[in-house]
This record gives sequence, structure tokens and C-alpha cells, in this order.
Amino acid sequence: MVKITSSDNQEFTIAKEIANQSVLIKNMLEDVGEADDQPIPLPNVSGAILQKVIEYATMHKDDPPAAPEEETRPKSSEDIEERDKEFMNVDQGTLFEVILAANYLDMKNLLDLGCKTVANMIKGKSVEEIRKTFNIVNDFTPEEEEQIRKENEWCEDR
Amino acid sequence: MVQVHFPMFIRSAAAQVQQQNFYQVKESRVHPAENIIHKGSGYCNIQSPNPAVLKPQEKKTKALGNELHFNLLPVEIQLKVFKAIFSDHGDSIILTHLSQVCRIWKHLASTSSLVTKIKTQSSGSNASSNVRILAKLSQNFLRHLDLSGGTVISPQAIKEVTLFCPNISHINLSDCDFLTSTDIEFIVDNLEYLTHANLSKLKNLTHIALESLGRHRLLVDVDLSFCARISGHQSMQNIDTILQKCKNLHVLKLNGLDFDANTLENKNGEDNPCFLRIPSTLTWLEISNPLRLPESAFMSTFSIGNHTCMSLAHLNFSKSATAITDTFLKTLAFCVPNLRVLDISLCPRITDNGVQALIQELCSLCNLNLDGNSGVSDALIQWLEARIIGGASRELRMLSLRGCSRISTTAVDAFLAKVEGRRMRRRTSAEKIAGKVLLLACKGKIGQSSCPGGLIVKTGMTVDPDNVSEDDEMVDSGCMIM
Repeated sequence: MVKITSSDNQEFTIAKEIANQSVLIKNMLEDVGEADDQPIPLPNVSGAILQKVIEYATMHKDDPPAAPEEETRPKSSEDIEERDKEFMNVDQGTLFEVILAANYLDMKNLLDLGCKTVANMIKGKSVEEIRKTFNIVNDFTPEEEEQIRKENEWCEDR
Repeated sequence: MVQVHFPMFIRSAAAQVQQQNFYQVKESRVHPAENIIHKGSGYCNIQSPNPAVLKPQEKKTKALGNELHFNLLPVEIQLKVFKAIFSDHGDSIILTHLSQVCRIWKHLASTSSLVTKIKTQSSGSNASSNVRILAKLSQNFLRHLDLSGGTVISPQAIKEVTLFCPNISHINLSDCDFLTSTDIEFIVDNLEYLTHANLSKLKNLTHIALESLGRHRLLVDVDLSFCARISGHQSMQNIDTILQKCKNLHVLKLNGLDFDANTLENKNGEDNPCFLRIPSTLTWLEISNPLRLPESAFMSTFSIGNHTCMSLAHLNFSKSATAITDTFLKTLAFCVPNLRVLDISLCPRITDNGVQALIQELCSLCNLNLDGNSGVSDALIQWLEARIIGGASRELRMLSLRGCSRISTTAVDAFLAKVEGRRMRRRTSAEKIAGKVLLLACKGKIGQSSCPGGLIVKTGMTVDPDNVSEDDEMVDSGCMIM
């Protein structure tokens, strides 16, 4: 078992094979060695998000290791497992925090899943819809907008 | 349509954007509408000598609020999201669409490292301009250019791509019939760092393009299959040059070429006229479906005592009406000791005798394809059974016997029953069904997830000559079909 603590000092005790899904924790454990039962501090992840990440790691603890060829094959953002889709059915703030946590903890699969989820939120939307979804302010000046519009015409014409 | 792929090294490439993006963020922070410090009152200007100290802090709480914002994520993550969007249906239109959202997105969409692969998917009137726009965007970052699949791209556009993107290492021009001989030469000549060249099915490819290939010392993988104009003495000489000069060459595919036996015979007055001089680096060779190639050509290439074939691991000699014989297999067995995959399907001159010699000698053989060979019979299966029970041929994991008219289902069933306990550690129920169903199951997912250490036999009623080797990929993923 491995102990980890979140930024807000919540302590979690998890099985080693679950902890090892995070390359960061795995490397730490290897550096520290078995004997040390000090909790590993994770100052960049809050307790609520860590709970979520552990939920994911537990769900995927029996997954076979990814084949190396996966790297070369173009991955489709359509192809998300149903349970993962459900897992990612959270508000935007949580989604981004999970992504950041996955990035920090070096959990490639979770990071990929998060990015795919965001990608699916963008796909098929108009520019205005995208701004609305992500609360993005249009910071182009009218002149710039006009110029971009012209550029696009040029692209679509050819 | 053009597909865009993204680099694995997105992290390092992102650093390049990071700087610019940082300024973008800053710029947006002092947007007139929001900038209360300058516009609100003179308070900061008078009281604080350095308003910048105050500004970011105040801005941070405001921008963050309680929620994270997409535009505040690290650049490498933003790029990863963009990558996920493009991996599905990326073309330059999507890029311009995303670039209209805001400045940060415009910047992300024009990151040159975003596009490292261009692949044409289906025909479209704007395919040429798509390829051109993406190539201009990615410039030095473009590594893979895949124009296979019959989409017509103007040769001018392809030439421009090679000029914009000098670092292309993988090119696939398979089936680009519209390319003239000069176009092909221009492309090959311009790509200095070419390692993987798929030039198959190019009807205009001539020996001159082969000559320029011979100057690419970095070549690793060359596919010249089904190029109708590769024929005769000069072409063979140029292929020989590629083999001798390209010290990194691992894979060479020469399927369906017309080897004119006569020009080979009197190629030169050497003592040992050799059809192909295999370099010691070559691991993968395909010469299936050859035209006018006699047995002697194969014999001269794989003669006993030829030690340069040691590294060959993958051979495809299928659909060879005359050249592949038992005598040849017996010779072959002695000069390719490390062979793992051998495809000799649809070679009518092969019998049990030759295959036995082969299996006996090649202890690392793991995949043998005998599809459509009426020369092999039940006797081979019985012999193999005894051998496997005796503990030999440990590596053999996949034996394909589709369409072998002289092999009976009874023999295969008996074989599987005997061998099962020894080889099959884990089997799924679907795999226990012999014959066709088994084959179907293997094409699905079972092969990948279940049976490491298992042995699978593929049998079936007929064999489609055009589809013989479509399961080949399964071998490398460690699955076994028999």
C-alpha cells in the first residue's frame, strides 16, 4: 500500500498497482524504496481531484499495458470507452483539473482521455458556440476579424 | 480531405509556442475593456511606483475565478486537444475554423509543429490546396507525407511540398498514377532525409528514379512493388546499387515486378552472377508474384555459404508459379537461420518434402503461410505433430493452411487435440471452433488480448489470392494463428 496526500492535506492509502499508474509516483517509490512509509505529498492536486484520479486508476488497474504500436496509429477521439465517457461526465472546471492532475502525475491514458473529451466538446461547433462553451472572449479587433475572414475565403476558394 | 497528425514530441515543440503564447496571454490581460488599472483611476499610477506588481495578482483571481479556463491550460495540453480534433478529420479548413475563436487559438492553430503528417483520405476538389496549405504551415516539421489512395494532387503541389518541407522522412506515393517519371525523380531528389519510401504501383517510375534512390544513404524501407516499368538490366543494376549503397536498408519490397530472366542471365560476366546481392542489414524482403523469374535467380541469391542473409527475418515469396521449389526451400533453409516469417502461399511446386526441410532447419520460424498449396498434405501435419510433441519447433505459432486441398479437417482437428495441452495455455471458447469461424475470430480482437503462448491453426475452405497475407500484422503483435 502507498500513502499519498493532496494539497489540502487529505491522505489516501491506495494499492501499489494503482499508484504505479502514475509515472511520477512510480518513480518516487522507486527512488525512496520500499521501507519508507512516509506519505507522498502531491501539492499540485486537491483532494477532490485526487479522489477522481484514484477512481480512474482503480477502474483501469487491470488494463493490459498499451502496445507500443499505438503510438504510431492515429487515434480517433471518437473511440472512448463507455465507462470513461461516464467518468468524464463532469463540469468543465473539474475536467480541466483532472487533465492538469494527469499531466502532473504523468498518467498518459488519463491525459489522453481528458484531451479527447475536450476535443469532442469543440468538434462540430461553430466559432461562436466554441466561445460560449469555453467562456472565451473574442479578443480580435474588427479589422483582424475581417482579415481572418478574407484568409478563410481564400482557403475555401482554392 | 487531408488528415493531419501530430508529433509525439509535442512537449518540446510546445516550448517554442510557449513564449509567444505567454505574450498573448499578457496582451489580452491589458485589453482596454478590462484594464481597470489604467482606465479606472489614477490610483495605481500615483500611489504605486510599479503597477505591474499589483496587476498580475489582481488579474489572476479575476481570470481564474473559481473555474479553470481552457486558455489557461499549459500549451502542451492545448496542443494535445487540437491534435485530438485533427486526428479525426483534419484539413486546413478545420485549422482556419479554430483560428477564428480568439488570439490564443489562432496561435495554436498556426503552430508549425502541429502538423507532422499529411495523409490524403478521399478525393476532393481541394485536396491539392489542402496539402499545400498544411505543408506551408508545418514546413520543417513535416515528417510524413502520405498521398496514397488515389487522390489526385497536382504534381506541382507535391513538388512545392517537397520544397517547403525538406525534412520529410516517410513518403507514400503508392498508386499516384498521375505522377510522371520526371515528377517522381524531382520528389525523390529533393527529399534529402528520406528513410521510408513507398513508391509502389507507380506506373511511370523508371530506373532513373531508382538511381536517385541509390543516392539516399539513409533509406530504411523501400517499396517498389508493382511498378510496371521497373524491368530489365538497368533497373536491376540500380536496385543492386540501392542494396549496396544504402547501409541502413532493412526492408525491400519487390512484389509483382517483371524480372526478365534473359537480361538477368547475361547481366555481367562474373563467376557468380547473382540476382540480388542481399546486404547484411536487410531483415525484410518481399518478392511475391514475380513475372519471368526462374528458380535459378532465387538459387543464386540464397546459395549455401552466403552469409549476408543472416539477418533476414521476414520473407514473402508467395504467388510464385515456377521459381519456388522444394530444392530451393532446402537451400533457403540453410542460409536464413534467423527467419521468423515466411510466406510461400500459392506456390504450386512446393511439397511436404520441402516444407519439412524448412521447418526442421529454421528453429526460429514462428509464422509459416502455406495457403493455397495443393502440394502439402496430411502427412505434413502428422509429421509436425510428432515434432511438436517431441519438443521441437517451439517458436512456431502460426501456420496458415487455408485452401490447401490435400489437408483434411480431421487431420487438423487431431493435430490441435494433441498439441493443445502443450502450447495452448489460454484459449477462449471462440478459438476452439475450428475452421472458418476460428479465422474470423482471429481477425477480430481475440488474437490481441488472449493467447500469448498459444498455437493457432488457420484452416478454411478457400483462399482468396488477393487477400492471402492480411493477417500478417497479427504475428508481430504476438498472436498466433494456425
